Amino acid sequence: MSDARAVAEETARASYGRLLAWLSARTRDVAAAEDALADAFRAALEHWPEKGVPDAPEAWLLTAARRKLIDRSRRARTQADSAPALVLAAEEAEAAMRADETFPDERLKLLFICAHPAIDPAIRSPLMLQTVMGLDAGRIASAFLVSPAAMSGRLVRAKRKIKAARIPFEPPPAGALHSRLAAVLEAIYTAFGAGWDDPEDAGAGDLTREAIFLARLITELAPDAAEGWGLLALMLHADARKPARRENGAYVPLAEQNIERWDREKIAAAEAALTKAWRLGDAGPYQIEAAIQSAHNAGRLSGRDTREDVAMLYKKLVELSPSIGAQVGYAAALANSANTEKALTVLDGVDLTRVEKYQSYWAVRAHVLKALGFHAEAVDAYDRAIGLTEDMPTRRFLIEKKAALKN
Amino acid sequence: MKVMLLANESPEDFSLREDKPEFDAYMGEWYAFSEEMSKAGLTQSSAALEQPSSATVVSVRDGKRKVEDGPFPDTKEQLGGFFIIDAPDLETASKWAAKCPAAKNGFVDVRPILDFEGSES
Amino acid sequence: MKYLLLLYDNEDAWDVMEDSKKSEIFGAYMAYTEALRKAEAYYAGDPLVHSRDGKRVRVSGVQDGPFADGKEQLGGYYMIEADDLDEALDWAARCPCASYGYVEVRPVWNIGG
Repeated sequence: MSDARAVAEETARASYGRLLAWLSARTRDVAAAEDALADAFRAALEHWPEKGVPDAPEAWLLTAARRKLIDRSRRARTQADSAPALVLAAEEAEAAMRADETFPDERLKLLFICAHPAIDPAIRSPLMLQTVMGLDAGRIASAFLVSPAAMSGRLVRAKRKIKAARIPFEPPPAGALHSRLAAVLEAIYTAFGAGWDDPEDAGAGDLTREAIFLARLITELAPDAAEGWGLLALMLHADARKPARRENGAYVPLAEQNIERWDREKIAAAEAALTKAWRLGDAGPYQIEAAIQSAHNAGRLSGRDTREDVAMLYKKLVELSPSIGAQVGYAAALANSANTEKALTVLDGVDLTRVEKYQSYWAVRAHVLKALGFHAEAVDAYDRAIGLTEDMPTRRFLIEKKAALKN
Repeated sequence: MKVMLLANESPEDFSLREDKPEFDAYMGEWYAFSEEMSKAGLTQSSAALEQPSSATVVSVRDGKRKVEDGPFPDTKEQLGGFFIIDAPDLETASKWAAKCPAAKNGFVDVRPILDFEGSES
Repeated sequence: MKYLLLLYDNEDAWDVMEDSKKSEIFGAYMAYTEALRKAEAYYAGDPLVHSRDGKRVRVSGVQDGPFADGKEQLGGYYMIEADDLDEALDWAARCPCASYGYVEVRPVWNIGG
């Protein structure tokens, strides 16, 4: 993608989200505000990459949207129709733009609404991508592996609920801020995961760029939230290694990746974000996970042995948030730092009913059993891991490991 | 006796509330039923509810609040509105319930209200 | 804006409950109702009789209660005033029923408005 196009798209996205947040906060009708801005946003994505980004992008979008709004307002039949209220909000926005150089940014309120506890957790991430970033339902659907019609229906339902149940466009009260922010970050990370898992890479399903945009937005709008910086650092670190994780279609484990293909700029940005997070003095799981990624990278880049550091960080992560993922990661880190017996103890301690469909558990278990010389058990574990694998390169990698064991 | 009539509507009935030509006919039936009950001196209060998808469910366990997207249970028919009526007996209340528009494609639950000593009427 | 709080609980539990426990719960409801009134958030509220004494009416016929919808049954309601959903959820969480059953919060439909 050309730089001009990338800049134009990023600006259009930011302006779209800001205008949508403004109009929705004043009318509570997210769907009607989206409808009003849709054509203008489409026009911006068409014109800006070629003709350049206008000086006042929000004003440009608003001018393009206004005609449609006034049209709709004239046709509004029922009192419940939001068009007249939207026209008023648009006029208010114009006045604000004239009076001030900068247009107020209320996207954080919109993010909090999207991840409100009354909204189904499964739709939070798609809702953010659609409202804050203007992604179309079809693309979101392909990333989340559901049909466009089903995704559209669920998005419509969520927006209707925001309006009908009157979910407030206000930042959460101090007492709930921590948990509400965690919900926002979780939804952003879900979007990243939906992009990351996409076996085709960079296809329609790749949402990693969008997720990083949202995390950066959080660090701008809520700069005191350490976990926001932590999440940004974590995703940047992972994203930096993305070009190296496959070669000729085959999966390449981190220790064997060609570090020339890592994106050093992203790694530097990740480190900067992590430093900002630590300075806030409020450790959380995302920061620890980012520190783990940082240690992995440092190990490869400097040649220094960071395996003990990684194991220690995982221990801390398990203490902070004892998820299956953290426990499996801890076991893998122990196995890598010659603590194989302890790794098996950690794996044995995991509730088996929770890992019946968890591929990484079985892959790590196979690796640990093999290292300890329990070959028959290792073959069984490899089989379970292979059976649970989604993408072909990983499957091939595990099949090769298992075959090597039998020889 | 005080009785609560709970109008449980079908998804098809709920969909008529959206911007559709059938909306006026749908509302007309409800207005007619509501007026008939008022004229008979039965209705004490009543309300229509927003779509079931606007429901939120709250519970508190071990001092921790849990908030979830509703409705519960996620059955086909869902509560769309209710009437609190003063009826001579359950039989009469049920006869009125059968006339409720929701009884055609959904159902109406007829539930007596608990009248314990010291309660206000 | 008006919200309806629907109180769901295991209605059979009341049949076997000790009187002292019952009066404790009644007391909690009295206090809750009073708090709603003091905050000028109270419109109405009623407890319902066990669903075995109710009827389910369809045009096709009448079925006697109890209804086999699930373990939890509607046991009462409150109609309250709240500025927005968050305030309504605060009231729902304070309702005694939230601690042993669950409370469904439904916005009242302001038809045409």
